[in-house]
Amino acid sequence: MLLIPCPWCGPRPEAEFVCAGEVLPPRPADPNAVGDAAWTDYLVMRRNVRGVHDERWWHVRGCGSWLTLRRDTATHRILANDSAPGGRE
Amino acid sequence: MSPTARLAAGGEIDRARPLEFRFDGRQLIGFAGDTVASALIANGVHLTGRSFKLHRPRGIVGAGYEDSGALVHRVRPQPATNLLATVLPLEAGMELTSVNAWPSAAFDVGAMMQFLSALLPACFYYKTFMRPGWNWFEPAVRGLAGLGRLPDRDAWQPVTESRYGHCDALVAGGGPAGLAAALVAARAGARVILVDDGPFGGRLAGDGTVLDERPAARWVTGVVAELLATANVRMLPRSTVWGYHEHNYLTVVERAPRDAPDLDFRNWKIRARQVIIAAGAIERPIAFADNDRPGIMLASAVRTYVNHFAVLPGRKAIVFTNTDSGHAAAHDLAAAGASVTIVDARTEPGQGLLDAADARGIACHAGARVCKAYGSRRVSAVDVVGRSGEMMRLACDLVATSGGWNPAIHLATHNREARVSWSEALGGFLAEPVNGSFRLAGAANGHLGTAECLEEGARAGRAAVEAVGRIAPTINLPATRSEPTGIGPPVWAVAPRGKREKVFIDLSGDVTTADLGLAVREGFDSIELVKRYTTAGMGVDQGKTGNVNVIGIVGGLMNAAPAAIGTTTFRPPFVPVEFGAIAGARSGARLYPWRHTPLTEWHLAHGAAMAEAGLRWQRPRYYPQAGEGWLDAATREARTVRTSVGVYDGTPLGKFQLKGPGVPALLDLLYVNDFAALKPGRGKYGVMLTDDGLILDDGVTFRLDAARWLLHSSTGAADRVHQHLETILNVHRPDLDVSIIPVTSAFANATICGPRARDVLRALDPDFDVDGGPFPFMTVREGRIGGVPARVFRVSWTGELSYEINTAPRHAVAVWDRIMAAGARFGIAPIGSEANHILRVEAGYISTGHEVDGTSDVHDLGLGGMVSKTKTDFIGKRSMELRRRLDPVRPELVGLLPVDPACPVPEGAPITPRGAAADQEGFVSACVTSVALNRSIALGLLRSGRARIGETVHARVYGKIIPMQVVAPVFHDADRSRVKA
Amino acid sequence: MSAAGPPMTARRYAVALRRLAPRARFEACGAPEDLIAALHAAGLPVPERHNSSIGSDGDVRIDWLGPRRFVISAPLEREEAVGGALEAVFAGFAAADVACVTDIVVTFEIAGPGAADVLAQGTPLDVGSASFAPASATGTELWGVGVVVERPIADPASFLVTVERSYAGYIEGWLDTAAGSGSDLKPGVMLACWRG
Repeated sequence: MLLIPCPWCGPRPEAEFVCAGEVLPPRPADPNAVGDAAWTDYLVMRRNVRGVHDERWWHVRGCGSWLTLRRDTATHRILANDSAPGGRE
Repeated sequence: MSPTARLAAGGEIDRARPLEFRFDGRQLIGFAGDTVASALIANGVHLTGRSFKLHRPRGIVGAGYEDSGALVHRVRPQPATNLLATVLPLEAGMELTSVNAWPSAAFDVGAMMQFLSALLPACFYYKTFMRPGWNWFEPAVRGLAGLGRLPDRDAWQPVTESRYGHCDALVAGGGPAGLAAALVAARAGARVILVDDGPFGGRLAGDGTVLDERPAARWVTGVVAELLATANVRMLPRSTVWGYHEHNYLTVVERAPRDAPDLDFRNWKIRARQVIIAAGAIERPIAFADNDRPGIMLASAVRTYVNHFAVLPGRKAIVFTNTDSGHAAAHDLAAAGASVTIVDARTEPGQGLLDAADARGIACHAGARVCKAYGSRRVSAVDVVGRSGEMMRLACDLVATSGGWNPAIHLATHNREARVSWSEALGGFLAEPVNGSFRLAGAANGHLGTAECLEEGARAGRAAVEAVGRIAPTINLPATRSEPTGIGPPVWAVAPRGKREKVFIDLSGDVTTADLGLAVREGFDSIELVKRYTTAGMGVDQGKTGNVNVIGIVGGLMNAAPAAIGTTTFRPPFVPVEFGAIAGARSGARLYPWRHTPLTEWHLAHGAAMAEAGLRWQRPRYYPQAGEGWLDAATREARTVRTSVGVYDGTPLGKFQLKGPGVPALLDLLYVNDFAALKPGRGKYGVMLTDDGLILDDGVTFRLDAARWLLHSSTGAADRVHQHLETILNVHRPDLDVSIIPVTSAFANATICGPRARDVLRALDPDFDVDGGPFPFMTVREGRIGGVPARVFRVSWTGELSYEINTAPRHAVAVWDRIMAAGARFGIAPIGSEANHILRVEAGYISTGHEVDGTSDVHDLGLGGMVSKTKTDFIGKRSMELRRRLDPVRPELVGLLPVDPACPVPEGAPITPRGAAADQEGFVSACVTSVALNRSIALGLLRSGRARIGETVHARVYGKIIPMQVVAPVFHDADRSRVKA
Repeated sequence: MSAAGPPMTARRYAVALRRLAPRARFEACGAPEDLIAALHAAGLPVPERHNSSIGSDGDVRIDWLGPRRFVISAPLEREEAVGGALEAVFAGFAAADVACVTDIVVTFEIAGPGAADVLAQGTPLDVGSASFAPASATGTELWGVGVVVERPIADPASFLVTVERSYAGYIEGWLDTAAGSGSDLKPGVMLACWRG
């Protein structure tokens, strides 16, 4: 079970969190202005790396914060937590 | 029978407490403190079972978890099988039998397998038994293979507990290194957990080491006493760390916890800030022909039996070694009265060792090797090839082998945070941490001497406490004497002299050096592949003893150094762990967090059959009356709603209170239809999609007043919808200022439905007008009914006039009782989810989990008219439009009338063209026996279904073909006049 | 606090388990600065640190459970008074909200030297006294369910566990089993959803 550094609570067990997946490019402000291929890329393309990536977690059973972790998917090492303490991103 | 091999004095057994037990029908006697293995050896029993594949006689090899297969079956007291005799504490009255042998280990019918061994090479099941086919042979071969059989009845149900734990420093192993580390950490005030499955002190407990010029046990006793007395230290004896997972999370099994006599096991899940692995080293054997005979053991195990259990495993012993520690075993045996011969593979073991052996009367053949063992149920002699090639046959009843020491790096590599490297000096693998959260110490780190172990342990303890921000004290380590710890160049196995001689490299799986040769010849050039092909290292001991020998031999065959071959991957569990220990008390009612409404007790008191209705909520399925089956009851309940009035418990419906200036924009992004203009007091049915254009959920959202909205989700989708809302607000639109308070359980919901619903509501004495004009469909009223604060929503999921009466749960039962009383004169019935299902199918309302199956969009379900014509964006819009543009042929919701009106169609049944065994063109999403039409009706999704009304289509179920007529997907109240009455 | 039922007694661990009488309870949600301003406007104190609670006059307690979440609790008989005051204050905020959640939850008290051993069977959170000081209050997981765990200032040797009412029977059965049974409470009945 991962130990996740919550910006508001400090290190907390993974069981308190929901993983909301890899951090993606932002949702286009006007999806109609985006070409079909670019839109489907946004929807389905994931880096899915073996190594370092950024991912979102929701501290649903703790303080409710959303946070972004930089984690090595091969070793689980957490390299950074860029989230501001607490509030919405 | 008296225990013939028990020494008269010494050992950590309690001679005042003899324990009688039976093994394979023989009455035997041991002492408190014995393991089953030590008690068996004390009684001269070496043959404990038959091997996995070849049914060869096998005995005790080790003295702990390194043993490669001394498994026994326990008939009494607690029937269980495949228990490792070397770690199983002896109990009075135990009745044990051997495994994989019939009728007994001594007389085993399956032993004929040995004569078939030529048919059973590595991966034999892909080779030998190919004609007519493996399937043809498999039952017979499987019948002969395997180990213990599960007890038929009264199987042991251990009482277990599973719990979490936390500490600053976890020390795995309580030998000299672990004790020193724990002592430093304890004195620094850190929270320490010290784990060991043997006696604290490790090998110091009985190997004659001297510390501070006194027996080492004195020092051990003092340290253990201090640790026990330290409040911040938790000692876990009889416990094994079986997994070292990410972020310093460790799993530990504690056996027979002393603080809880009712427990058999406690499984610990421990988060440690720092970990010290002082797990020691495991001796490796030297293999030779027929080295699996009972009575051939590890030298370290022999020492444990002699010194710790006061048992002499043999009177005429051969010690085959290339280490100095093998000589120590020989001295222990000689001191206990055995006649001993040392066969040392090293040509120059050192004059000191030779002199010491001579002084003790131990013959020592330097530069010699044991090349074959004789005997069947017990070793009786060995062939030794001497320094200049001369052959000797030496009679014996015990062979102890010592081929060097493999540091126990298994745990250190579990979480992939260690680099593994080959140590030429040690002839074994070492692990080096790549982060600062753990360290290895002592023999686990390749340092075998007592002084090194103590110093490295103390150093590791100091580093650990400093890493957690504490100041480490300096401790005085006891003075040690110099001790020989030499290890010769590795001897993995002595080559057999003929093709028929078997040299066992992995006793658990009957793997021989010939199998390894076969694997390499057939091109399995990676150690991981060799392992899987031959099963070497996959048996009960998971390669604890033989693994490095395998790597050395494969390296030799491939002309590669062991460093180039590398190790296989060690994974948890390090030792066998009972599933029950991991589960703890999680069983029965504690298996899943079932949820109940405030009305559950009422439902049960009125005979409801309960079932899960999503997200673990338990809801009534139906309320059977005398003599009714579920369909009778559901039909009666549905009919009562159609003709008069019913009431159901809608409490689990998901509810979210929303407030903030961003809510209108949020709802417009969330739903396919327009919500921004929703007026206070009014509600609207909405459908939400995910951004891939498919339906996530549907429900009615009300605007309670100028500032607040109440969003309803399906019962089973509440968590998904909550996360969806949170994702929008935190990821996509953080600019929207909205607060969300989940209030699902804040309200109990009694929904009255049916043509008489208004009469019942009126009889409840509401303080607001309930007539259709002032209180129309899709509105909400807040007020009191009979003095109880209530919020009443006028919505419907049944195709009848309905009111959802929401009150605080503390009033739920009283309000429900009053509804039942008020409805009595209309024949009101409580209805369950089965009747709900009939009613919603008749009315053609969609349901999450049926029509909303994660592949449908709003147009598919005939709700295209809801989609906003003005919004440029909502979640899912872009994808829905793209998908429909690329492929306009979509499955569409239709009604289906089986041609045979009495024929039910299984929900989920595929619809195929003319019922042929071909690709499906749709499926039946729901089918009920309609109370409105008195026939079987169904809903389904059918390719281009709306254009096919009037056609006959066919469901195909297990080859049976059911013709159905396609109709509009509504069977009752098509103009919604009853709902809106 | 008054007991709603007889204390449960246990065998494996020295612990007493009780289902407490309900308290009035209000969930406040919104931007951190709005919530703090609202509490001040209501005359209520703000806890000194994250994940902790503070008491106020009239047995009112304020738990700071998240950057956007406070819970205010009070004796049940003051539900209308406290609720009315909070409603009035929060009406002045555009996006900060409050909801009465008295009936949403059930609170259990786990008291005695074995309390931490019982809780540790269900929660991966470290509730040891060093890391979970008196007045601590936080959301976490207990036997797979989201709960709030508190170490009351008044009785730091005990814990309060607040769980959504629908799970109360399940959690009660688990607490009883984890304590080592021996009580009158039969785990697995899982009823008593609304009791007391």
